[in-house]
Amino acid sequence: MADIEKILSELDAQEMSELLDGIDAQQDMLLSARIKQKALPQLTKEDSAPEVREKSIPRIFKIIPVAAALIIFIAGAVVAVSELASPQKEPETTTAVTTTQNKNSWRDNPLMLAISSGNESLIESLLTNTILLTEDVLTFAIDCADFLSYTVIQEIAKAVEKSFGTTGLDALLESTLLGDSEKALKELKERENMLMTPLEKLSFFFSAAFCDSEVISEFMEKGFDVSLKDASGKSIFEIAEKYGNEENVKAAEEGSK
Amino acid sequence: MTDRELLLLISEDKVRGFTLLVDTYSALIYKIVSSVVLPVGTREDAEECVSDTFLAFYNNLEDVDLERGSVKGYLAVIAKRRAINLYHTLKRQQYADMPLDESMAAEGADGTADYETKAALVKAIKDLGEPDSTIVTRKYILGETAKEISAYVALSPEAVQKRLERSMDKLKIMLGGVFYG
Repeated sequence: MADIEKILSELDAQEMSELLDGIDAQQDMLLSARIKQKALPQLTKEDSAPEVREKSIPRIFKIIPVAAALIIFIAGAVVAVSELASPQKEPETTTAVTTTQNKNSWRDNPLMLAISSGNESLIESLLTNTILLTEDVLTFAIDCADFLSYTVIQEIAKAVEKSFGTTGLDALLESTLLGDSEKALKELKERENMLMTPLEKLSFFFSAAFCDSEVISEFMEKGFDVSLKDASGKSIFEIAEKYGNEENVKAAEEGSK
Repeated sequence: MTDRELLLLISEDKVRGFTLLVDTYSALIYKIVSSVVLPVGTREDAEECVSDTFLAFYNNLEDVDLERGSVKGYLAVIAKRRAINLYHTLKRQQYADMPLDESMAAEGADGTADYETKAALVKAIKDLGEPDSTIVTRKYILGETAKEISAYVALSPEAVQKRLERSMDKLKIMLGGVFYG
C-alpha cells in the first residue's frame, strides 16, 4: 500500500478537501495552547520588525559622523570574518540543551515537579524564579486542574503573562482565568455558536470562580448548564463556594430562571 | 463559522482569527504531522512543524481560493508537505554516518503521481462509501491506528482492521491493479 500512501501525500488542496470533508479530530486545548504560544509571537513580530528597521537606519546616519561609521563598519567586518573562520559552537550546544530540556522539561524543572505533586506552597515560592517559567508550565498546570486549585493556576498565568507578555491561551480561557470579566463578556458576546468544547467548559468553570454574574449568565444563555462538573467533580456552585464567588453564581442562576 | 467568515476574521483581526484557526484545526493538523514525523523525530519536532504550518497558511493567505479547496484542505496539504520535508531532514541527520549507497537505498526513489491518478484515487476512496471512506482517510491521511479510528466509526478495532483490508482490495480492483503493496 506504499504507492497509495505516496499518492495521498501529493494531493492538492481540492483533492485533500474532498477526502477530509466530514473528517475532524477532537479539539485538544492544551495542544492548541502550545501551538499558539509558539506561533503567535512570530505572527505579531512580522508586522513590527520591518517598521523598526526602517525607522532606525536613517537615525544612525544622521547621528554618527561618516568617519566613525566607517570605523564601526571595518570593526564589524573583522568580527564577522573571525566568526566565519571559527564557527561558534555555543548556538548548537544551546539548541541541543534546549531540545534536551524540551524532551524532559517537566522532570528537569522543579516548578513542573511541584505542579505535578500539587504542592501549592512550593509552587507559589518557585513562581518568583522566572528561569523556571517555561512555555509548558501554564499548559501543564491547566492539565492538572483536577487537583490543582484554580487560584494557583491563576497565579501561574499571571507570572507567565508578566514573563512572556502573553499567556498564549485562548482569549476566553485567559480572560476567565484572570478574572477579567469585561474582556470575558466581550469574548462571549462575539462567539455566536459555542460547541461546548473542553476549552469552553473550562472557561465556564473559571468564570464561576473569578468572574461576575454577567459573565456567568452569558455562559448559561449560551447553553452551559449548571449541572456541568469540572475535572475534580465540582459543580459551578461548589467552585463558587470554594473561591468565594457564590453571590455571583447565585445571581446568574436566578437571572436565568 | 464558515471558511469565508474565518478568512475575513483573520484579515480583520489577525490574532483572534489566527487563534480560532489554531483552536479549530490544531488537533487534526497534529495528527497529519505526527504520523509522518514521530517515527524519526520528537513531539517537539512535530509541534514546531504544526506551528510552521499555521504560519505558512497565514503568510500565503492571498493564495487561498475557497473555490478550489477548504481551509482544512489547504492546511492539510501544507502540513503533509512540511512533515514529509522534516521527515527527510531528520532521516538525513540519522544517515549522516551511513555509507552513501545505503542511505540512498533507505530514502527510496522520488516520483510524482499525475493528476488523473490522484483524481482517480480520491474518487475511488469516496466511492467506497461510509464507513470505509472515513476509515481509509483516517488511516492514510491522519495516520490513525485501528483503535483510534474505531472511536469515530463506532466499530471495534478488529472490525476496522478487517474493513481496511477489504477496502484496500476493493481499491486495487477499482483502479485496475495500478496499485500494489
